[in-house]
Amino acid sequence: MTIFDDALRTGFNIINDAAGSVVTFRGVQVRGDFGRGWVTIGDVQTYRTRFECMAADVAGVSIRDRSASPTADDTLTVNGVEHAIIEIQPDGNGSVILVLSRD
Amino acid sequence: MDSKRQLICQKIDARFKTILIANGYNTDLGNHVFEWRGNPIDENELPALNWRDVSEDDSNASTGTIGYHNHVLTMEFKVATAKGKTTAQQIRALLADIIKAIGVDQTWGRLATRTDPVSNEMQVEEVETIIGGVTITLNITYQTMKWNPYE
Repeated sequence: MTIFDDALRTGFNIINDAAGSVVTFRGVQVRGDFGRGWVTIGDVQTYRTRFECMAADVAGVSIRDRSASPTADDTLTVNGVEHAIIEIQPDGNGSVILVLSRD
Repeated sequence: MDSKRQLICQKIDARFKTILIANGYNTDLGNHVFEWRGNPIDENELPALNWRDVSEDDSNASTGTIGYHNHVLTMEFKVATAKGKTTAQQIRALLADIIKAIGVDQTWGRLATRTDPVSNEMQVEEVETIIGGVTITLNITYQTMKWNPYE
């Protein structure tokens, strides 16, 4: 058994008002749904955060470059907190989910 | 009266609680040591160690020294931490602390014959923060009188 193979339970809440959330991407405000849900990884309870918006609003978005000389390193600023983008999940119908990390 | 297995577990718990920077270790893992903790550990409690005496192999009991049962107790230690981009380095430091703590006395106060490492498996996963950990498996060999768990 590994520490992560029992990551079974998750919960997710969209954190918005009726008009959605506004985040900053490359200096431009983008509207969408910001969500934060808990996830249990091994013995630890933590959170997973994501932002869902129109793909056109974040065209060309790139995930964090962890190389020694990063060439692309997009971030989203949510409520004044900068988040790295660690996963891009397009739905093929014009929307995209960006999975975010504070680290 | 406590069984020998219970006494070994008590020694293990006490030993790991001495893993503190003040005692010459790399980390303060000893502040959050749990025995068979079932509810999730909060990020505020990291680094943390959750240990379990998961199984015991008594298959060679009848072939042991006359009048004794031989036991191989398998212990599992799950260590978790969240240290941002240095999480992997922190896990290695925690692993080193655990190995050092076992080496203080691998007989756990002469209750066991010896302690042997079996394996360790390290993982790092990024969610809202970077969480990582290592699962360490050890075998502790000890002996009791036949059908007497206390001596």
